[in-house]
Amino acid sequence: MLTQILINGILKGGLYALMAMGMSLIWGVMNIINIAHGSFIMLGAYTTYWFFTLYGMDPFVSILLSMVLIFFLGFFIQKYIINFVIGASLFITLLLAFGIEILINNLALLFWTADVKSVQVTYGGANTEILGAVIPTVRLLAFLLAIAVSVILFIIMNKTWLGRAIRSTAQDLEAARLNGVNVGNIYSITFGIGTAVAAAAGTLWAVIFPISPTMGGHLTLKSFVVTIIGGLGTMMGPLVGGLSLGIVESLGTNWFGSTFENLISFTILVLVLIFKPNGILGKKE
Amino acid sequence: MFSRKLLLMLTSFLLVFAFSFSAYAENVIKLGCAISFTGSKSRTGKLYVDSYKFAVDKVNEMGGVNVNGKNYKFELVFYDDKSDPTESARLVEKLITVDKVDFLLGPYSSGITIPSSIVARRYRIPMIEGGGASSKIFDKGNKYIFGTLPRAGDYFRSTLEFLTKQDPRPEKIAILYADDKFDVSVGEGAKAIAEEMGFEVVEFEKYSEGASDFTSAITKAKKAGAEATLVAGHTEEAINFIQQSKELNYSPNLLALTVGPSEADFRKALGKDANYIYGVASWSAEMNFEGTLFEDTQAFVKQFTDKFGYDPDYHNASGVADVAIYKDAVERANSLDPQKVRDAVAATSGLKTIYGPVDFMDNGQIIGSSVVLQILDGKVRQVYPASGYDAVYPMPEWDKR
Amino acid sequence: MKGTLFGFALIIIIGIFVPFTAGNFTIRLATDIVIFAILASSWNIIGGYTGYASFGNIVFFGVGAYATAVLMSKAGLGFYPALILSGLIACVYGFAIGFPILRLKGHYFAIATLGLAEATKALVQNLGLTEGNSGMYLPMPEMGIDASYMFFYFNALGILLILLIVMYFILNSKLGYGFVAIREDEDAADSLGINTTIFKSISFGLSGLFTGMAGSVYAYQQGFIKPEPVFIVTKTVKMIVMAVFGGVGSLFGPVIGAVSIELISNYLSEHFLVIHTIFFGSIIILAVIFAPKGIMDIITARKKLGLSYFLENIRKNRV
Repeated sequence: MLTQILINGILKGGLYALMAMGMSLIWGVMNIINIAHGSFIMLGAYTTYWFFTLYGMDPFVSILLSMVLIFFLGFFIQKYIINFVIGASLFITLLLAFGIEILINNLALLFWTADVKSVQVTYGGANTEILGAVIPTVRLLAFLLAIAVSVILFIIMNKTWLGRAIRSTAQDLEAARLNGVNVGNIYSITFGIGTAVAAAAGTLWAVIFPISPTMGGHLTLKSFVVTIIGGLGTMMGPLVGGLSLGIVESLGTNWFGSTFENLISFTILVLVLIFKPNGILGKKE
Repeated sequence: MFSRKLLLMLTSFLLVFAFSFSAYAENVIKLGCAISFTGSKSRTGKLYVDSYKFAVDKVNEMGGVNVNGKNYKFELVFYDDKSDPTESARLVEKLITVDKVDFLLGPYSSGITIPSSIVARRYRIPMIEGGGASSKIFDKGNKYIFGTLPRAGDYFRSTLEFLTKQDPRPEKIAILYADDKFDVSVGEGAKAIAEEMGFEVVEFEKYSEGASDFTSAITKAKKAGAEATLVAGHTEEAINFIQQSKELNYSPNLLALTVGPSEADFRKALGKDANYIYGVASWSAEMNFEGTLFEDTQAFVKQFTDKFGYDPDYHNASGVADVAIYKDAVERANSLDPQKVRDAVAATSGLKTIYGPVDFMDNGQIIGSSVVLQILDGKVRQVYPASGYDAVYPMPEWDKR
Repeated sequence: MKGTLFGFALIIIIGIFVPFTAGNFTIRLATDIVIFAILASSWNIIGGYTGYASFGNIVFFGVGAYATAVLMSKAGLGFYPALILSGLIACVYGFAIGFPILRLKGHYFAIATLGLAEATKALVQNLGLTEGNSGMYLPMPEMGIDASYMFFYFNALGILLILLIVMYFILNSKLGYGFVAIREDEDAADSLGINTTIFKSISFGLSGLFTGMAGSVYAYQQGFIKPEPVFIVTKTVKMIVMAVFGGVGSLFGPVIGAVSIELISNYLSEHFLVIHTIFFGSIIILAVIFAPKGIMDIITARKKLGLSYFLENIRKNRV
């Protein structure tokens, strides 16, 4: 039974990690808390749903298309909306993100209605049994994909010119500009990547859970918790944060009862902030 | 000659026009309703909006409501409560004081119904609601609220009765319920009834409203060897629960859910996995009751499906009954006085509706029972009490469907 | 000074005028607006004057509402004792919680308060005393309908006035200068001998006191409360939107913001049954981009108002 609980937690944790990755990137580079993060996850889920329903595309194939689409959406939202207030105080950017969230969610509600939808892949309920514990195939695939996306993101950030430009912009805006980096573009690209990763998380979410236009708010909050637990400024942060949260939640709800899930995760959030504000992996100031 | 004829025609036309105009302007009974058009409750809220409109149109088509020999038309006034109880209470206030509605129709969900029923009580305007069944609505002595969903605590009685009739009779039962008031009442009621009937409740667990992860709860139920699992929650939770049961290979003899199986969304979302899932409802489209607005349940189901393009479920039927009760009560009271109409609603006795005969308990809640549904071949069928469809028990394993 | 007196006079005159000219619905709407004005003004104490962007101020509202529900229906207290105790409980909560989390800066503080609000909500949902997630009834006020609406309205208005007067005096005292000094440069304030830890906690506690009292009036008016609506994140955002829309760090800004946002939102939802939320989202985006300093700034800077005023904000804040 304990093995099963741990496996449930780890698999869920992979998804949490992917959800938080985009938020962590945008926060770390642009110093913006993207409250609309959950809305981009929702959009990713819906694009997957439509590719699947209209064209019969497998979610593990259409995930790339969703990411590209949402990348451009994020890119333009940054370029033509967020960019105007990027230098303003932090609650201004928070509010702007909130406005964007209301807009996206309610447009989704208008066009797609509040009906609950789900992506029914043929291998939906398949599973394998190892050591008396059941491992759902879809969740395992989603977990592996989440790891893969993190690794790819890690490589982009550390081994490519783009990654170096993003990191140097995050560290020192003026120095980056002097070195010939087009800061405005870097911000838009970063935001685009962040939302594209959110879309990937949305795709995987849609394969496992039913979706609706209002699903995002709760996921934004979960992403906060994961981002904080893992710590900003490293690509491994969300992975560590996600897995820790997944396991703790799984064990906690098993011991205390299902209604304690939120109490557990938000108490951890506050405690981590008080005692280790830079997260488990965070560097000292 | 010609001009006289024309004049006559013109005057009669004008007279008719004036008459119809005045009929429209004066003889109107306003029914006010603040309900969720947006926000988290909007999906089910829409079912009520559709049914209220459908029933009101039908009443007006049939000539309206007869009071003191005059015919009145029903007119609906809607506001969007944004799924927020604060908004709802404020808008009910507006319906009463600004729009001067005569009577109120209820919102959806117990949490929103309570604050708006408090406003109705303050102004002594009756409110009939079809969307809240929590005992908290009815146990505070509010004389102006009437509900057409049956007592939450009794929801699973029919399912448990059904289980006692199976061979072999299952012994271990798991009950899972969301932590909102309605589902807490359902869960606690089910536990009491189950123990009374001699079942062993091996898992009795509450989860947060809107939860998406049931893996821990399912793992526990599986470990405890529950042969039947009863879940009281909402549509999304129901879909999650079934999907995750399949993922974790948990296949008890019976899986029953309160909300979900009777809704089209649920069946669409789960596809063939929805088959053999049990449901419970105060009403099903298989029933056949004579009605006053519609000839019978089947006629209603057909007309409704033709108009809205989806199969009505118990929310819809309950909403239609609310309007039918008003028509009947206003005609019996023979007055539009809120107090007299309230008394007439309370005295409703055996009113025939497509939802079933309507009688109210002293606290304003309908005297009703629930039926056991099962999804067979993608259709919701009533399997207990028997209605011509045989229940498939135990449910086949997930990979043998 | 003259402007401040004028502001108080305006609020008192309009505030007293409204209920005698309108029906109960308008009074209720006005009560809700006044409650929002209290929330936005309370947020202004910690967010506007002290410079700590609290993203969880709703926690005080929820604590105040639930304290009143428990005190009135479980302990049998009258409304006024419950109101005062609820305010004090929220105040102590803010003061105490301030010590650990006010050490955090910027986004970290924002997220910590958000997490605190969610954790408190989850706690209330699991406590037996608060009847879990099922919600609690409060006793009905024993008075006529019309009297009860006047009662709620004037209590809310009274709290708002007390809050504004208290803030007025604080701003002209050492405490107020301390708040502003912390906002401008915390290290400098510290070196000037201001005990920043205590000052910040007092600011957070004051914010909690009035927000808690607003929650108390809300709960009694509503008659029934559930955890989700009284601890909802969007309400925190709404109070910040109001403060920003009206003008952060000015005494009357948040009041103006609350009145205008609520009237706009009420107008929109009255005329556009479903798409009002889309308009609302757009208004927030436009307001934040073009007038991040709020209506108060537009009023005081009206001489140089024009297209350039609005474009200046963009020019200043873009990359």
